Amino acid sequence: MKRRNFIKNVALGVAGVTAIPSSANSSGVPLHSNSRKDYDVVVIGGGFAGVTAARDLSQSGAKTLLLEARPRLGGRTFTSTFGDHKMDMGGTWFGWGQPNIWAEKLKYNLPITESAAINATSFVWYDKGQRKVGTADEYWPEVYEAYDKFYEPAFKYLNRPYEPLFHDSKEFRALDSISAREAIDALEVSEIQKDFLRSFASINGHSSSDKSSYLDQLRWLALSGFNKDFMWANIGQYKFKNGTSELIEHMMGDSSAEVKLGTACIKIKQSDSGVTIFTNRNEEIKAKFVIMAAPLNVLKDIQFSPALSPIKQKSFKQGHTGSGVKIYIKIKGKHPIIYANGTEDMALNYLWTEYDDDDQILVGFGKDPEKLDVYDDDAVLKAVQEYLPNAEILESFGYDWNIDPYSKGTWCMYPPGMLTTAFEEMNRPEGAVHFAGSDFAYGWRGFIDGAIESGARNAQIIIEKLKNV
Amino acid sequence: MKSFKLLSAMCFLPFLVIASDDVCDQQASKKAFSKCAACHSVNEGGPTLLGPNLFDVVGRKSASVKGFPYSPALNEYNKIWTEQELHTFLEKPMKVVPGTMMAFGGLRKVSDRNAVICFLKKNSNK
Ligand SMILES: Cc1cc2nc3c(=O)[nH]c(=O)nc-3n(C[C@H](O)[C@H](O)[C@H](O)COP(=O)(O)OP(=O)(O)OC[C@H]3O[C@@H](n4cnc5c(N)ncnc54)[C@H](O)[C@@H]3O)c2cc1C
Ligand code: HEC
Repeated sequence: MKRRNFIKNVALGVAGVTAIPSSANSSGVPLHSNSRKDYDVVVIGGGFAGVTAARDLSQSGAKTLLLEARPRLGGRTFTSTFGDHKMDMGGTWFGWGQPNIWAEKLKYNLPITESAAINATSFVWYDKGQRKVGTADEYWPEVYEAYDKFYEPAFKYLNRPYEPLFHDSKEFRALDSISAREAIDALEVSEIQKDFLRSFASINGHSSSDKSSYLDQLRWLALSGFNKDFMWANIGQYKFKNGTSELIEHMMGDSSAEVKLGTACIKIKQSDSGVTIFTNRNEEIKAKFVIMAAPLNVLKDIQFSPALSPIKQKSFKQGHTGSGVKIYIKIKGKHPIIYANGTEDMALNYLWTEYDDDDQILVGFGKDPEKLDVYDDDAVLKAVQEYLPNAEILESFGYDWNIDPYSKGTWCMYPPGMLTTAFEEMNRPEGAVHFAGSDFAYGWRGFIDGAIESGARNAQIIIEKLKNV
Repeated sequence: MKSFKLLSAMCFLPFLVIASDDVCDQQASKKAFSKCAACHSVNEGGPTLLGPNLFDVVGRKSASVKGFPYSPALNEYNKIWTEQELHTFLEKPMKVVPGTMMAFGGLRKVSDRNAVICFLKKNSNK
């Protein structure tokens, strides 16, 4: 019953609108909330990490509040419609090499579908500035040979991929101290293979290949059992048929946590008597524990008292590298199913067919919003025509996660040094405040899987601690 | 060329470029709204996707959809969404209303804004 109602509410629009404080009234005058309930735990941020934590905590009997800044749950996943399909504007694909999300998919028995590009027949790439069109056999072998060189150190250093610092050593730190670009420049591969690798590293870090750590880039292959096909199957093949929101709805249906939407935490103050959370609607909420599950790139906007450790402050300021674009484009008419991979500096590094409809739907990725304004139709057309010269665009949409005040970026890849010098400290709780989220995950950091992993672990730690309070 | 002319018209005679029914091109206005459609429904009684429902928004008081948790910034904005006001807002929403939750860079071209406003006017009671 409860679950059905929740799902209905979500389908109708703002879930848990009733939980919006009276201060959100239309007169626009923020009021002090007069309800001063105390919670065992307040979870800040209703992405997959926060939703997982709130579900698990409430199921253990802890009095839990899930506080979310936006008018919806899901965070960096957002299912909307485009071209008559339920489409995810943020996090989309996942695979059965991702244990946490796949377990949820099985538990709630949710249907999946696959990207059309799995059956691509037309491959497009660039060789010394020349556009090439060919078959899978003409494209993949050269790319895969380059991957093998790129990933070589993973075999030695990342064979326990869920214990990211297991092989910590001088050589290990050296791999973390350089960027993916520096590593690629030094590889013994052909020029076109370097171009492939730079473009690959820039989509993985969703920013210029000189911004992200080489070591952090190596992880995805290790997490996929050191198998390149399986890696692509985990990061770009399967997706929820009805979008990621269907999983959020099921998880929330299993949760008895209170939910407050449209309310951002602006300050966290700790004292002997507990934690006080201050919101942008002039409320003060008290809790024994807090799980901070907002994205790494927005944590610098939240005031902490007492101040955070210097390493946390520095890392939160630095942030992760994900800052590129993802765009859906509907082009007129039937076309061969395409998989296109350009060079790093092109407006779109990757472009492939998502739906082989009567009018084809493509998804494109670029490393830099400066290179492609997703709201400028002329610029989008130009970017697509670099791969498909005769394409005619019917419509396009890309969510600008970089300017959204509650994400300030896309997915997480670490800059050089962060993993080996800050990761452990970033994960260390500050008093009663725990840090969770995909950006703090041990394994599939930067993915939905990592968000669930980190949310569940932190919830469990607090469940144990609450037993002794 | 066409947009250049419109742009210069905008500089000197802003009232000339305000959308009116006779310059409203169905196809163009629907396409222009595809930049909004992921976050806003526009049919009467439509759901909250991320932003508030935009049915009948032209002429509506800002931040007045009941139950929608507007940002404090938009709550305090206190304007009527006239066509002129929408032009200003949609060009650079995050500059015009600092602190808004609408994560949208803006429609730079006056022709796009015209087309969107046309579409919003069509989806109303008026
Ligand atoms: C374009 C894009 C494509 C992606 N593609 C994939 C993919 O295909 N597969 C995959 O697995 N992953 C993908 N990802 C990554 C994945 O979506 C994220 O890693 C994951 O969803 C993050 O979950 P989270 O709960 O850690 O953080 P978030 O989902 O960001 O949740 C944090 C929540 O905190 C809220 N918040 C922020 N500040 C405050 C505050 N002050 N007070 C209260 N609440 C606050 C936010 O509104 C948000 O809801 C993609 C991401 C993007 C942006
Ligand atoms: C990324 C999602 C997103 C996109 C894209 C978007 N909006 Fe919004 N919009 C919002 C949100 C969220 C709000 C509420 C803002 C707030 O409370 O600060 C909003 C508010 C508004 C408002 C004020 C409504 C009111 O009731 O006062 C108008 C008008 C509006 N949007 C029009 C548009 C138009 C037109 C477009 C397309 C050109 C568009 N928006 C694109 C998310 C979006």
